[in-house]
Amino acid sequence: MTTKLQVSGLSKYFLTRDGEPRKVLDSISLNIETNQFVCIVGASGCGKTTFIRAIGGLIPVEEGEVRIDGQRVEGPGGDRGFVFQHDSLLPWRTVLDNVVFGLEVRGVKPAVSHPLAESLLQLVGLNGFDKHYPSELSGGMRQRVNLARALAIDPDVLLMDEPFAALDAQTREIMQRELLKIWAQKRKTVLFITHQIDEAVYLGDRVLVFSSRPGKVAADIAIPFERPRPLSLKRSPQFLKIVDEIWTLIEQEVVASMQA
Amino acid sequence: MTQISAAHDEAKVQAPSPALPARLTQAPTQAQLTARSRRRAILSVLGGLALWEFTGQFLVTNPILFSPLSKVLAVGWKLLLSGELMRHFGVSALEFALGFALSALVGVALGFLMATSRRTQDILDPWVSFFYSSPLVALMPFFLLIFGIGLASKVAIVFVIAVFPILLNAFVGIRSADPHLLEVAKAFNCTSSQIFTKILMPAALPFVIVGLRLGIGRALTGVVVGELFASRAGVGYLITAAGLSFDTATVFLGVLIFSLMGVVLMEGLKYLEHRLAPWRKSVQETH
Repeated sequence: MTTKLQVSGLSKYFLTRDGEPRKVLDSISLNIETNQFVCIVGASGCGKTTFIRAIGGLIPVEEGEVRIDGQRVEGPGGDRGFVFQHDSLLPWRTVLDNVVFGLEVRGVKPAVSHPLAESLLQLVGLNGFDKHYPSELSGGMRQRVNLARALAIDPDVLLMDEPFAALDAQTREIMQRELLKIWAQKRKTVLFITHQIDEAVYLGDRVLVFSSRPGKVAADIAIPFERPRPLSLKRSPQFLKIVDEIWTLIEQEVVASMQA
Repeated sequence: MTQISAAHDEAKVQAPSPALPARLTQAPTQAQLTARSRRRAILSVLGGLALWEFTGQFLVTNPILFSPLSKVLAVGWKLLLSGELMRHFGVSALEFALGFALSALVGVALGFLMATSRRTQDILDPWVSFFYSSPLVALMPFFLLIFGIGLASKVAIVFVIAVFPILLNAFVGIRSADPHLLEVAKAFNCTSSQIFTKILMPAALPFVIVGLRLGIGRALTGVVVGELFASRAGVGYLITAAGLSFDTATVFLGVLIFSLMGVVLMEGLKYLEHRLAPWRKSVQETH
């Protein structure tokens, strides 16, 4: 196994309202192997979204570095594809035009990008919807387009920031299963942020548990289940035991963040 | 998706299940509701025109105080045949077109510039706020002194009173672009010109259209004010001249022409919006 994504000594500060620097990420170091599916869970405010935004190059970091295939990255790049939590499709573009967005800004001709987008829409289960506008789609369908858009630039690393957080419980389960199916075909290195422990355990090869203030990796848990994983796995005793272990790790922080 | 729900509604009407309560089976469909609204609107307009005619024929028969629709149309037909109507209309239309086009270009350009450059915003902001809230028609005597009685002074007044709502809406449009979408652009490594053309401009488009709609109304007012003040031709001149000779029918004709111009221009803009921003139409249709 080779290392795809290497994070070393990453620290991030925000300025508080009084102009005081506050540490939100405390020298995080970790290695992610090629094609590994890594989930990050933590209480809200633990800096997990800040972390993935830093990996994506959307915000600068004060200390440490991120390397992909040994190359230091600064700023956003085509080697990372971002799937956002919120509804981030461009409302004035059709589904197809949203999927080709990343290719279009790099100057890829429609003759090349359109067939590729069509095949990705098929992969995410949306063929026939290419001429629809985002406003005509359900939340689950929009996140499928969001995923197709990130896959279109064929990134090495897929960064997913709570992509299913806004979906209802049933749709979320279906999307989790679909995501694993797509991942089995596309084989990307995935960094997946979630606040749902069962989602992290179901999807990941590894679950990183973040603790808050400042954010750091409190635990790194290997998930032993074989793939493909049926949704019924979520009801098995071993699955529930792992979920419970992780819950115990972050329970105090969740309670603390609710009081804060 | 609209098709699916329409077919669904139809099926409900054609084969009402006896178990369903009446409020479901007898509810009018969307198409029926739309047709009903349209019928009411047409009846309202026809009723209004009939009331106008009736008032002029039987209630206020003094031709100086009022004029029935038939007489206004007869005067219009006479002026049309003599070529006078088209001459005046042509003058007013040209004043409107030049002044409005200028205010649209300058307004959108300055609005975009202000929204993207902090420095420009800081410098222009107090002036824009000042002029936006000033009754700029009061400048007409000044424009007459500077530009004379002809076309230029009319274009100037139209421009000055139409440009500020257009500018402000273009500015707000850019500023209200969703920051999440700007983040998407960043994640996909867009250059700043790509961010402008692919995110900011389409995001601002609905606001720009609103600005243009306000601008049309104000520009028409500008044409009227300019021509009423001092002119040798134009629909406003027609109105003034007719008013001085107690020819109420021609006054009404002039006002009617200006009103119809406004209606046609608004409809044209609506059509333009459907063409330029089809995603907004689809929003309206699905919700």
